[in-house]
Amino acid sequence: MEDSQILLLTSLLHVWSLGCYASGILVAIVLLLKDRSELLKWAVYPVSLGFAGQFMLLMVRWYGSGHLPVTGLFETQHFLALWVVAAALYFYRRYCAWTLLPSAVGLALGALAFASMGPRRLVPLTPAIDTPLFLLHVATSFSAYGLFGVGAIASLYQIFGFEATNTCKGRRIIDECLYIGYILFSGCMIAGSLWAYLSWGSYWTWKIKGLWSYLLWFYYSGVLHVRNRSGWQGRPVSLLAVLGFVLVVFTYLGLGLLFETSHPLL
Amino acid sequence: MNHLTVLMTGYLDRAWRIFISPVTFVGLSLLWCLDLGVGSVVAYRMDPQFSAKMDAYPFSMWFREIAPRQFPESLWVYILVWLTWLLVGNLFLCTVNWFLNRRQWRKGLGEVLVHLGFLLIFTGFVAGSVLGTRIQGIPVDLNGSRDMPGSGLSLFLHELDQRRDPDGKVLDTVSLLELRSAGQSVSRKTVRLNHPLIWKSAVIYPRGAREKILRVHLSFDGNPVGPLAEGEALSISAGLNARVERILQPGERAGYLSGPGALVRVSAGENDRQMGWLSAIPGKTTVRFFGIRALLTGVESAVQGVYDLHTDPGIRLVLYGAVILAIGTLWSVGGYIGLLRRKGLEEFRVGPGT
Repeated sequence: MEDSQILLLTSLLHVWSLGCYASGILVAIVLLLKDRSELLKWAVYPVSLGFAGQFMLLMVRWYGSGHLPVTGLFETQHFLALWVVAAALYFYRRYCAWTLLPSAVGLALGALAFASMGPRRLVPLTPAIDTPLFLLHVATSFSAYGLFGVGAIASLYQIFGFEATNTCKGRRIIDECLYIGYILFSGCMIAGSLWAYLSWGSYWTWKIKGLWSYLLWFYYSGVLHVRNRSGWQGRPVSLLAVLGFVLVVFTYLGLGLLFETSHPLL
Repeated sequence: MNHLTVLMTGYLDRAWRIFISPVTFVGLSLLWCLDLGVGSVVAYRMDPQFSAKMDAYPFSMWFREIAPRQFPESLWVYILVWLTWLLVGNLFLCTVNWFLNRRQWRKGLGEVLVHLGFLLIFTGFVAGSVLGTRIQGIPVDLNGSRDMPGSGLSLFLHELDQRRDPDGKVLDTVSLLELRSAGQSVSRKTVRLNHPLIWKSAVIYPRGAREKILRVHLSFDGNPVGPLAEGEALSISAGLNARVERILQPGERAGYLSGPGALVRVSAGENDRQMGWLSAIPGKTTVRFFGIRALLTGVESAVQGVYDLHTDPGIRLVLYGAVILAIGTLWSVGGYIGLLRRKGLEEFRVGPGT
């Protein structure tokens, strides 16, 4: 397959996913407002089709570039959105998280809209990032960000007194997002530190992006320690989960936009 | 006396409970995050190069030598160090407590392995920070060797190749290096980005290549002279001798002079001499010696590889810690997935309309 064909397919699948997610959200909102949640599968269908389109997009780019497509703004945002939607669909199936679905897919839609700002051409890996550790580092970080994002949405539901699921399992969703997200983020930190040691000569760096990544890791370590303790459950953990995602967004976007970091956005 | 013992035991018991409490860990980690977050942003705002300056030294050296001179800007690092010690103390006591009580061997093993991993990583960090060294930008001639200062090691550069993109921009420098200790070859490896030469606690990182000016070509009133190496002299006309006093390499500075170029002295006799700086950058001004117009017309150079040497005696502890942490994490994931599976998918299923 030629690069131009891959680019064309990428654009088509990107627009397809955007359209599917937008229509899925619209259908879900309309049905929830009309109190017709028994028809919510009509929202799940377009979301699933969008998810399939996104999955295909990443496969095509993987085939075209020869490496896991997690480099640059366009691919990382797609990867993030893929995890957000995967989590939303999983929670929908497992805990009947109908009300969570439109908000989570909204987050994915935002990520895809942001992805639209990034260049789509396939770029070969430079020697600095041509290592499995880089791919592991980025893939695990964005999958963790996705889960932290879904956890924050479920927490917002709890804070404002809405139920994210039809089975009163909102707390379990928050717990799973925090736990699995933390595990993935630990993978990101281990791979990133090892890569930094082999590339720069130190697994610990005082570069601002690295410092804030350690900050995130410690923050979520703290949250994990109290999430199941009496007195912290419910609203306090929900607030910590939301604050954690604010830190994630600042670490990813805020630092990238405000400072010259070792992890440029584009 | 008995009352005092009971009182003391009560206080100690309360202190122990506070020290091993996860809530203490959470409070400390929130303070740690606050200090690190605010401190790093303010430090970056005041000096965008602060991280490069800190990364250039082993941390303990920076903390001992430079941090006091940068006080109060470095206050956040002092607070960070204290909070880190408190966090590690809390983690250590929690782990000790776990072993003392041996709670939930299978279920809690992942958690305690993660704690042990962190403790090992921290111990390795402290060891590396106190005993480690960093020497940056060591040039080695192609087919030449260079003693690595303070390490008893020497580096021999056999081959050097630069990989470039289609625009000519250097992407990577590939070197075939041989490391010698006490004259004996101990390691030989092709190094490039992400593939340093590692021998025991010493790691050699490629940092690119540079041209080393060996000789310069000069011109006096249009007459070519040279090539001349540093310290060499030639007669340029009757009674006039030119001598290259010093050659500065690209990026090298000496006082107000900035390389590449050559400091040339022209003498007309015992006590009659003039000195001038001839830059190797095209378009720079010429210099007149005794009315003769002098120009640096070209250079002869050889390529050098440039390397960083880091020694970190704590790195093995850090690697073992990372492995134990990863095993603990995987163990915990296994336990968590098992928990989710035991709860069963159907248990939570509520169909539409039910």
